[in-house]
Amino acid sequence: MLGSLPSEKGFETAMIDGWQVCERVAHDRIDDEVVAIQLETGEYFSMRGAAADLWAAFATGTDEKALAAAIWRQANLNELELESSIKKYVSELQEASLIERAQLEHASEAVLLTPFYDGLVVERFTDMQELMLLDPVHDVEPESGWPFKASTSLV
Amino acid sequence: MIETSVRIGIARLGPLVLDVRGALGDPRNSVVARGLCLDEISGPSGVDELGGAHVTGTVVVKTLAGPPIDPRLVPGGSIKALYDADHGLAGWWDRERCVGEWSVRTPGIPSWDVGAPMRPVIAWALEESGCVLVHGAGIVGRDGVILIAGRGGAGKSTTAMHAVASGYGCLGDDYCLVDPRAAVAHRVYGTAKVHDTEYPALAHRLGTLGAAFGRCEPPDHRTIVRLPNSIMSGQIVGVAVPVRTPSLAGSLVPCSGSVLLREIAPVSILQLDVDGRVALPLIAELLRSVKTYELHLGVDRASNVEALGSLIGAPLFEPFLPV
Repeated sequence: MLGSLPSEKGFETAMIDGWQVCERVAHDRIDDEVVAIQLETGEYFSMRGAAADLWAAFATGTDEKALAAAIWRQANLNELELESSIKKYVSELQEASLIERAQLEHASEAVLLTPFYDGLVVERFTDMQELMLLDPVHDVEPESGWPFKASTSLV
Repeated sequence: MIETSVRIGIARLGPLVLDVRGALGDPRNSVVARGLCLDEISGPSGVDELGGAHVTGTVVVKTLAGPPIDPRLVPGGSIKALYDADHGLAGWWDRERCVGEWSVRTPGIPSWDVGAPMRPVIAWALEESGCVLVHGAGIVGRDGVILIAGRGGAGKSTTAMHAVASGYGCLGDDYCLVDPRAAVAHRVYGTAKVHDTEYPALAHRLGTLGAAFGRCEPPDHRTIVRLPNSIMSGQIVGVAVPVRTPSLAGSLVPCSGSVLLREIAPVSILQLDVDGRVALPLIAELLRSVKTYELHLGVDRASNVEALGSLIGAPLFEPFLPV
């Protein structure tokens, strides 16, 4: 529930349960496409159209309600379709470790720039994983230090 | 163990300066040193003479028969490190102290590390310089540089070396140092890899300059050759990703920069383990500021070079022997 709660200092804003871009993700947008790289896994992702537009809101933190509002204004979806679409999109991003849960003071508004809503498609590429060099920061044996590999991966 | 000190420095808006003469105790590396530009740009004490250096530091290069470097080193904070057990490579860079180490196992130094040594350490040293190592070949004509970016086997090196044989300059066939804000590319390594199927013809055209410098490890059937010209930098006028086509003639076809971002950024960032949150926006900035293309590679190699010439102008030098 959103609203303001009294505190010793007066009133403070209730935090919103939302989503934000994970720390170890690099991302940028050119034209209508966002490219995001998960630096831990070596996977990278492409989002175009509506998926790219909505992604911008995750940079400052947003929630499903804000995402749904953006699509609702433009797409001819019923409530069930809208909810299912957002749920699948967010779930895909979370599963790929591109976004994570966050407590937000406010959810950033999402804006659709694309003139035609064409679904929320996230393309996943795994072909670069084999090119990644061993990153000992996450693979080091804490007792003996580097370059001894941990017996079980810490990643 | 052979150990040598390497000075590493990056001049503001200038080329990477890396003195690896004598590194690894292998005289072949003196060739790399010339490719790395110290002698040609600013003399033996170039790091000091350039002034305004953005990053300076020392890398100790070792060859080892046993396990690599200090086992007490725990990366994190200001230290980045890698250990590639399969190839016997290890290295680290401490950005606070500007000191690092690069170790290779003997025997069996990977030939690609002979041709282009210490890439990760160089990339880490560059992280706060505003420049970025970009995975691409830089070809220089009278009107500027085109960066040809793409995966291994996409046709970068072959196209670059055919351009060289036609008289164009080359800043590197695999990695170039890029200053995105100025859209300038610099040479880092004076070597290129040529696929075995292309090597005989190119070696014939380039003569002694096409002499083999080293071999890549199987299954990468390539020969490492020296770049025959001393062009060190140039203004980037375009970036292209090669696409193989069955056409006879090659052509440059405009495309969105996002296509190139997807081709260049993951490999440039992940292979060298640089901070992608810094490097990705830099690469994107470059792609927003220059023209972007697909280079449709035709069967006729000469036509591919002509296609590049339509953007970067005429060659800088007389061509080597005709095809």
